[in-house]
Amino acid sequence: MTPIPKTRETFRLIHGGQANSSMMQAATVSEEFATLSMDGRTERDEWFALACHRLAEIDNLAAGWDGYGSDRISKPTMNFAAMLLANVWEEARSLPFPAISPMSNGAIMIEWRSPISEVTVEVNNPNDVDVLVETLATGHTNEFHVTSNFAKLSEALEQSTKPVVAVA
Amino acid sequence: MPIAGPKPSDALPDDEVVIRRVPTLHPRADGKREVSKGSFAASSKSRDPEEGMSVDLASVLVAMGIDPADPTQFAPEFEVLMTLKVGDLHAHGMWVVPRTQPHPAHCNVLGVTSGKRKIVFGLAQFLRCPADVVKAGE
Repeated sequence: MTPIPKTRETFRLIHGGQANSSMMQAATVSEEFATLSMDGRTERDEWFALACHRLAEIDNLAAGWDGYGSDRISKPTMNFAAMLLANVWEEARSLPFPAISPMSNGAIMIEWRSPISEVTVEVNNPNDVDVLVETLATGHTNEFHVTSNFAKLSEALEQSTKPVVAVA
Repeated sequence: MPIAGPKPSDALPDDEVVIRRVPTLHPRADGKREVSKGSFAASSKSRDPEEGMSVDLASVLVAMGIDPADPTQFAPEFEVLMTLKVGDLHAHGMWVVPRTQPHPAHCNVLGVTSGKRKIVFGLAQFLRCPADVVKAGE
């Protein structure tokens, strides 16, 4: 796993602004991580710290960051992406660390790639997430929308670690 | 995100080439940095009601005396630039149209939906790229 540079401030999960139910859930997740950290850094801490570092980089992007006048990525979208990552960690841990990218439309893209499939998540806004799962062997794609329940996404990530069974 | 629909009357000729600026790179465990398909997204509806993906038309830049491959002449703040052939985009139903604001070379690619983003990413070729930068999946 890529070492985390120590010169950058870790992304803070809660930035204030308008509180809503998703933000409250994020706060709960944050406290859970704080508890886990009491006994030293766990695998989950390391993974999430790396994710938060990448989110911090995105958070630091100024308006116009894409060269075409795009706005900054909003705090609620950043927080929701962090919460989503925290929620699916258990299933995502066996996959290579995801690419996390800002998008010109204000969304955050999270991409998991395995030899079996690609899972692409676009966090458009809080409770507005598009997921595209592509099975690489067949090219078959499955698209679905997620709000605050990540069970279907977790299932897709779990399936990404399992070998495809050939059908006679 | 609106689909592109029929070919607009102002669509660019197929033999043109457009340039997409790539703003952020994802660090990898092997020390390389990668471009992901997230860099190929349309603008938000609040900024562009047409929801096009912004690009720069190479021929206009050249006509203005600008070499887009030279970072001292074009987009110096971007390490990575990628090119797309207009004919390739048209072949996949994504129309490229001139939209000369905020500058004369600016164009929009219409119909870059989440389902077509991977196609666009696959079509893109490096114009300017440091040695440690690769496309995701390579």
